[in-house]
Amino acid sequence: MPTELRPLGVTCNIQCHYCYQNAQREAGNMGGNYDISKMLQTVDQVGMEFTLFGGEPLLLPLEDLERIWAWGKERFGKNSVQTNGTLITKEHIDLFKKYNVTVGISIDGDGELNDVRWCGNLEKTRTATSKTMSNIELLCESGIYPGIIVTLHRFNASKSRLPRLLLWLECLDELELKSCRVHLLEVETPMQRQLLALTADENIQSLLELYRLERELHHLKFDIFQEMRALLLGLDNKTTCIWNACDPMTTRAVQGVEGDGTMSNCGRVNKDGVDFSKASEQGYERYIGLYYASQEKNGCNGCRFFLMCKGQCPGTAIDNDWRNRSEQCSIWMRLFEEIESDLITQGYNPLSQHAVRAILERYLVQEWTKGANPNLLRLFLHSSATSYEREVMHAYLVENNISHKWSQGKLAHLDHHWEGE
Amino acid sequence: MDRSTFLHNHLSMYLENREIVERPSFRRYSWVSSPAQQVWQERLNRIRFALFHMEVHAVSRGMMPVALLSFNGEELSRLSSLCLQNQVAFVLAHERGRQHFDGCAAVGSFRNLQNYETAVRNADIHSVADLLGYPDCCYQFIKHVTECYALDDLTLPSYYNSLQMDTPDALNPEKYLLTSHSEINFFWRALGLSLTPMFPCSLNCCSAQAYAIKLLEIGREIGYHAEIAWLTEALRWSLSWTALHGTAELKLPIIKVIYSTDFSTEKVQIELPGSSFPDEGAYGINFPFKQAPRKALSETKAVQNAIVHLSQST
Ligand code: SF4
Ligand code: SF4
Ligand SMILES: [Zn+2]
Repeated sequence: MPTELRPLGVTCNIQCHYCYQNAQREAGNMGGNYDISKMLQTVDQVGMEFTLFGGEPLLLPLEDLERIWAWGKERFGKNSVQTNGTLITKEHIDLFKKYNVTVGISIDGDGELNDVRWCGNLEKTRTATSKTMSNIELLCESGIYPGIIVTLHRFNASKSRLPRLLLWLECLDELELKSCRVHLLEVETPMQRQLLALTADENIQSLLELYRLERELHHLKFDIFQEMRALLLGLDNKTTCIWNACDPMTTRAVQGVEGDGTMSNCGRVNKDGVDFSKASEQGYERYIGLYYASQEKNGCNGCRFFLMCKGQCPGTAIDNDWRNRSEQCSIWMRLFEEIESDLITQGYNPLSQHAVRAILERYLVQEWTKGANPNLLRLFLHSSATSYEREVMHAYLVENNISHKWSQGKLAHLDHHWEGE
Repeated sequence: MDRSTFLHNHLSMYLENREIVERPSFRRYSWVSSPAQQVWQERLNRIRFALFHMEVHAVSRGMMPVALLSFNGEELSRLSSLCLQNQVAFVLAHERGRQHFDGCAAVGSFRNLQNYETAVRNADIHSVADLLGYPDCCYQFIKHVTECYALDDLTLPSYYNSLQMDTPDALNPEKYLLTSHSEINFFWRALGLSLTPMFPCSLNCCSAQAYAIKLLEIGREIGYHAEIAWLTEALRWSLSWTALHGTAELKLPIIKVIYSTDFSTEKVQIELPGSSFPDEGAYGINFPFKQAPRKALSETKAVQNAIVHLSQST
């Protein structure tokens, strides 16, 4: 996961009504002063590629963008940026090409589907949406195929609007875009819930439709379904943060670098509007808690998808309390069921249905209590597995065509590639 | 209703939803900003050192026979040289409820330490409490809640025991105005800062407060004026404390601390509006942070327009 470079803090040119950074804006903690040298020094120390992030990073003057990307290309060979796409100009596209910049664009559809990404008044909002759409086309013409992030809400995925969203996604597929990340709305305020949130059933319906649509598309993939499939088979080494027991005090997947060069956490866990510093150690208290707490009490005890889901992103936790499981639980559970059933039909025997699940769960919780958070693949190689447990693991790997090697009576290697990938 | 029934009623849901979960103890923290960290990390370290010195000095002056001091790795050598300077002995000790630190040392004369060790070995908690200088009310309280409820963390019983019965406090048990006795504000114990050797029986215990005030006097006598000013100010800040699924979360204007507590699936939340707020404290949208003078986002025209439009669509 790349570092998020946030020179302008949460400063943005538009006002998305659901943005998870709004708590920080509301508290007046916008940020906005930056020192490029300090920021790049921190990125250098972290040693990971970075994404230029905001707020809206294209509010930066071109010369500052060029300075940052020239350094990024030199240091990592490539760059990336996450933008709302409204401000892209010909000059930006030249920089994207020159400095090997991968572009991510957040947009929820065309026309009225994107009204929640508000620009002051309706006219400006619709103009900005058209601008983003034409910029996507312009990028494609220039050979840059942006990744898209779409958030589902009442304005693009309610029963009446979903067909239009699907059509729009088909258009993106025709443009040969490859990747679309689907986000469920993260509800932080009663106002957001009332105005924007879909019901759990509506969310499920929308996701199932997207899952169905994906099979008809030629280029565009919704990475969420790929990930859930891989997770159900225990092949989780390429999955994103939401499935990987994210510690809200350190958010390993998001290493934010603020304008003054200090490190910060993923904004999704920032419910107080305070940009807390990273804790010095990682910890998995949330996940141990969820493993033991009953589902009735906002935990995950007994859920057969716990190994894959782990209570999901702490930024979406029930009542905005990171110790609870995700309030999107019922949606993910339904989707796991759907994908699990498809896998079974295709002849797989997913983790959620296999005796190996209990063994891996026990080892995972054990590792969390020691302060480690191994991925599922590594748990198969757990050094304390008994011979019975190894047999069960072996049976699982064979049944699912996961190639593996044994050495001296122990599993020594697993291949994370599988034929369904 | 008597006090213990009152306490029992407040604790009942928390206790009913308790589960036995074996985990190592933990404590982690995040600062609200780098300026807050720059100013207060150093101050908190200095306060901790001052507290060590004050307690060691108090023991050498006979204020109590023995002091029990929790330390983290790097603090041990400073503690041992303080003992040497003040001509008191120390032994490494174990005590429940102090598990968030690397270790714990008992400080006192050889004879008192011997008596202390004997009392610990014999599980003679009354003598232990005497040696450590617990006021009787606090000792009785700790004994009662330990015997009846077997809780590791005394935050909740001590807090509920602070609420006045038959007053609005009892009706809104989640809020407590920290107007007096701030010297014994026990929530800071999570950060290793406390002016009493034990959890006071309540936030308004006069005996515990007398102990704290005596310790502060000693601190002033030995020259820790700045440290005492910072500490007594910090003890008056607003704070919130919540506990769920075995993790307590303490939010102070400059720092957030999470640490292990008894595992219950019943969430508890407490707010203590204080009488002071530090310059380095954060602006935020929730208690205990400072509210911005105006809501920087939702009161803008653009957002108001959005709400009107979105409410009218779909
Ligand atoms: S808070 Fe959620 S989105 Fe952010 S890094 Fe953690 S899992 Fe990912
Ligand atoms: S599906 Fe729900 S209960 Fe199961 S692990 Fe995920 S959040 Fe927990
Ligand atoms: Zn008392």
